[in-house]
Amino acid sequence: MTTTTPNVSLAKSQASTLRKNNRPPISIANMLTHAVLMFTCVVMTFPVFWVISTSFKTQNEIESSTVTLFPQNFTWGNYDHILFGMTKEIRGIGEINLFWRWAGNSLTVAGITTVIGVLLAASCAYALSRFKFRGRRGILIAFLITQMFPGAILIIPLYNMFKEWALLDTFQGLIIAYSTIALPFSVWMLKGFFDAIPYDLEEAAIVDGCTPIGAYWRIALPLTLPGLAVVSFYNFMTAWNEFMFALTFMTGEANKTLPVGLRSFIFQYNTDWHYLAAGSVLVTIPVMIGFFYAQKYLVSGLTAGGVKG
Amino acid sequence: MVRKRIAYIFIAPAVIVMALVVFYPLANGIFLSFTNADKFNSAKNIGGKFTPATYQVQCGIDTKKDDFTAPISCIRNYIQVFNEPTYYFGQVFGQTLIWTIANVIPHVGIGLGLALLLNRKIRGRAIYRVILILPWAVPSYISAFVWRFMYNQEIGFFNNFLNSLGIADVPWLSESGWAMFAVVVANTWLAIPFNMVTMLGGLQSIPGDLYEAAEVDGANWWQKFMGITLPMLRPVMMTVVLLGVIWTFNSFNVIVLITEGNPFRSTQILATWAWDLGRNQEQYGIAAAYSVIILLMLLFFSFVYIRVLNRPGQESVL
Amino acid sequence: MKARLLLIALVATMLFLVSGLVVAQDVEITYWDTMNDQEREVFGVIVEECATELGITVNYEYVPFDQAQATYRTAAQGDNAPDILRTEVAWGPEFAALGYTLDLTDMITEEERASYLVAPFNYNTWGGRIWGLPQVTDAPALVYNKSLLEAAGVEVPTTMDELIAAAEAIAALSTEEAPVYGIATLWAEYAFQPFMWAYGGSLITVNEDGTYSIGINSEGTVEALGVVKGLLDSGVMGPGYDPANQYGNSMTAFKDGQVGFFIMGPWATADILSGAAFAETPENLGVAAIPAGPAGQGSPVGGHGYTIYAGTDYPEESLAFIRCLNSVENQVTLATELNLVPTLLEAYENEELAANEILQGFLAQMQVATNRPVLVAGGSIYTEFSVQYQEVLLNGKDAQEAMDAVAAAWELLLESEPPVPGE
Repeated sequence: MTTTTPNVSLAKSQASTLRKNNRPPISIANMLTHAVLMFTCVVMTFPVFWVISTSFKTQNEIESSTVTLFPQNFTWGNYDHILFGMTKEIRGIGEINLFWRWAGNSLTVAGITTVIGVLLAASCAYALSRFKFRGRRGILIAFLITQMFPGAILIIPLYNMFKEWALLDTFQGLIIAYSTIALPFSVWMLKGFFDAIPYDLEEAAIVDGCTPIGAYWRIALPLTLPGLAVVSFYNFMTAWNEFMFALTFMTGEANKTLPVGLRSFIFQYNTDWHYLAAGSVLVTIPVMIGFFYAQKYLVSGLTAGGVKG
Repeated sequence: MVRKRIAYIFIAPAVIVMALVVFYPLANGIFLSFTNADKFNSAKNIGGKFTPATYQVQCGIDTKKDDFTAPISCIRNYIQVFNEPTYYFGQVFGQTLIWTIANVIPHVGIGLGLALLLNRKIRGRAIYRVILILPWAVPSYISAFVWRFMYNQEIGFFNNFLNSLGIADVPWLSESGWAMFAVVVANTWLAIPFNMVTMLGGLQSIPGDLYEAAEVDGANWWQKFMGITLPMLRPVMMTVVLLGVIWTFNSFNVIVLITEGNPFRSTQILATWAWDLGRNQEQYGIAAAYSVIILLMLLFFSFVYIRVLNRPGQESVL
Repeated sequence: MKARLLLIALVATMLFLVSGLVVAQDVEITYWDTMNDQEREVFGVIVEECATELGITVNYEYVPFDQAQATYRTAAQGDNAPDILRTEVAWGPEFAALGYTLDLTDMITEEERASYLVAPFNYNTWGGRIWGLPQVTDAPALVYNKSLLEAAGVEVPTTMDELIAAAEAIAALSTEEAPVYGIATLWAEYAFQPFMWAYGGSLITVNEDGTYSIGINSEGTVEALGVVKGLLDSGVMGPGYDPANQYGNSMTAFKDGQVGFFIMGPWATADILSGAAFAETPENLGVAAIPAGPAGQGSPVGGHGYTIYAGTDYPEESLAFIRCLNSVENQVTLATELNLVPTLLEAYENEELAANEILQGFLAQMQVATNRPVLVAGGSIYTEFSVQYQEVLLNGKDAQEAMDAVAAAWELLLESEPPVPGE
């Protein structure tokens, strides 16, 4: 963070001066650059375009063997089915829509995971940024090692633990499992943000009689609000998108999160691609909006935290 | 930085949760890998009636399968993983290597290429940058669905498109070579944005006066690239490669959701295969042994990689 | 005195209220269904009717068939299983052996047992105990597109050779723009079994002394694999074998009228009849038994039963609910509307069934179908079979070598086959 931000702004100011004084020269190299970038952009966006286009097609058009870039018989029917059609009776709740239910589940799990994950990460990152203590290096290495675990290694023991504690098929279980997935990266990112804040402020507060925890809570934490926002989004996105734990732990239809719920459209014996496409678009939109809002910070946070250590 | 005891209070919550959710299960997994745990002998909670697990460490168990005695019999699962043909270690390991290498090289290569292009002072590069990180914004399981759909042999986009050009169907997901190619392409699509922006960040943190000085000396583009860009980018690239290898080695969603390891296990990699052995075949002991082997491999790789590439004097976690 | 009376009155009122609460506490049952979309449209109504009739609440949940076995295993171990599961016949013994499902032996009378067809009922027993009641039975049959057969000038085949010749004739109708396939199969290794039996192969036989004989690597299976590979490679069998999408693609092609013969079970007929080639002309769909080959004839008998979770709070109510779902009337509804094959003897007395040609075609197939071994490992045998089958067809692996590998994997599976209780 400390190193990248000034440079980004430096590059920007350079670019703007260039724009004012003399436009970038039109050279063959620049044209080639544009050509390559445009081609890559088409390739990178195509799958996204394709799922959006598919989501407005009828099942017949999707299953036909002629390729149509845009829907021939444009329909809202798939969205209508997902948003209003997938209803069922649930005792005590009345008629519910499964898609909304799954979305609500995902929102609950991701929301609570975010709060827990950010609180854990922030205080840990603060300690790593501010204090020298025995085991500091050990913790940093331990965090790195957790990145090496295949989820598969934890899933069976976690499953057994949850079985014993009756946490299978519950949101609590999922939240516990998720709270650490994003932790290492969150800690790295936040450490970068804390490093950028001078310690003097907290020191002054402590001299004035504030406890170290008070200094952290009342001074350091508010100063890293942008960092917290980014880390929150990162935690939220990780939990919102998680698939393997949810697939293994959540079994009841009404308890599923969106990834597992949507997966029930895709199975060996038939796939409702039209509904799947519409559901996919709906699930992606909120993440995408958040992502483009947070991406600049996310990128610099990941770069600063992940790369610089 | 100050040395303070209070630090432990700050790190305690994270460490406790990590211990509970990561390190205890990890230890438990390592223990499981020495036992004969399977669906018959693991704990069950049926109707509130809890039946504790009855699996045991393999040391004292005689089986018809082999005549191992302690201490060799303690690591029976590991021996079986390597020796028993039905656990397909050799094949799956080979596929994992191919998968990892075939992924990481284009991830880093294309990522670096795009980062270099985006680092040029051209018009509209902010727009390019936003469009190019689009795949990152899509949940990976959604991306996997979309690619699986596009690869469909009969109704998928690719074959329909090829047909319209007069080219015959490509067996994307039904021929082992094509299937591996298909999942690698999908995963590369997913991974490029991270690699690109990380390296772009690295490029932008290279001080501009270095290039100016080189230009004064009359260096050409290639000399600047080899003399300044690559050496300065080295720490970033090192991290990107290391993370890339670890993530790719352990990747799950793309393979499970696109091919499920098909056709005939040719796209199965160690991580997905261990999961399959555990969840679908319920051979918990063997699956745990597989997982421990994966972890050891990655630890070994990281250790060697860091030893070989880390220059002395560089302050880094890695 | 007054105070005491008041107290008694109070306690009595409380007791009354509490007992009222207890009585008012509804029975709530969760039922996991694995039926496909078309089936659930009909079956959902039956579920609702039965819930109303019994005055209980039923959570009617859907689990895709291919994920149900693993999901149930996960749920059953952690006390999250549904009270009732629609259980594929191959899963039953495993769930019973692991203690997941409730032993129904003492709740089912001889009379009730006798009301069912023998073969489907036996699939729901293991170790001499009863673990479920059969909902439907099935065996993939030769489903065909009459107009394509006519166009190719072929009759419904009565031998394997005729079937192959007819399929070749139909595939010859293919043009550049519109491919036509002679024969399609549902999902790979399962639909291969009729060929296997036709040429003399077999799965696992339980011998009288309790040992097992594995017949998968016999010459018959190898020969059958050669036949199927020939059909696939020549383009007579299609659409192209895509394991990830095989079922859906085959269904789509058949529904659109691109396929002559289709080896498919009754569960798919409602879906097929909604396809372009059959929606207007349902009589275009024919069903016959898969013909005999040089060394035999067969089709795998499958089907589904209802099982009750061993940890249920409502065993009696669950069974009552199952009995309601499984009434003669409801089985007839499933048979007439969806062509699903009933398991109750009485259902066959219905006249509508006799007039239903599609159903009669599947019944003809049942006469010459083959029962699968009732083993705990029965739900797991297709894993390795499927992989090796794919490798033979798509990768040119030697058929004998592949089937030997299947046999080896099955031997390992059978090694952990638990002893049947009570024997």
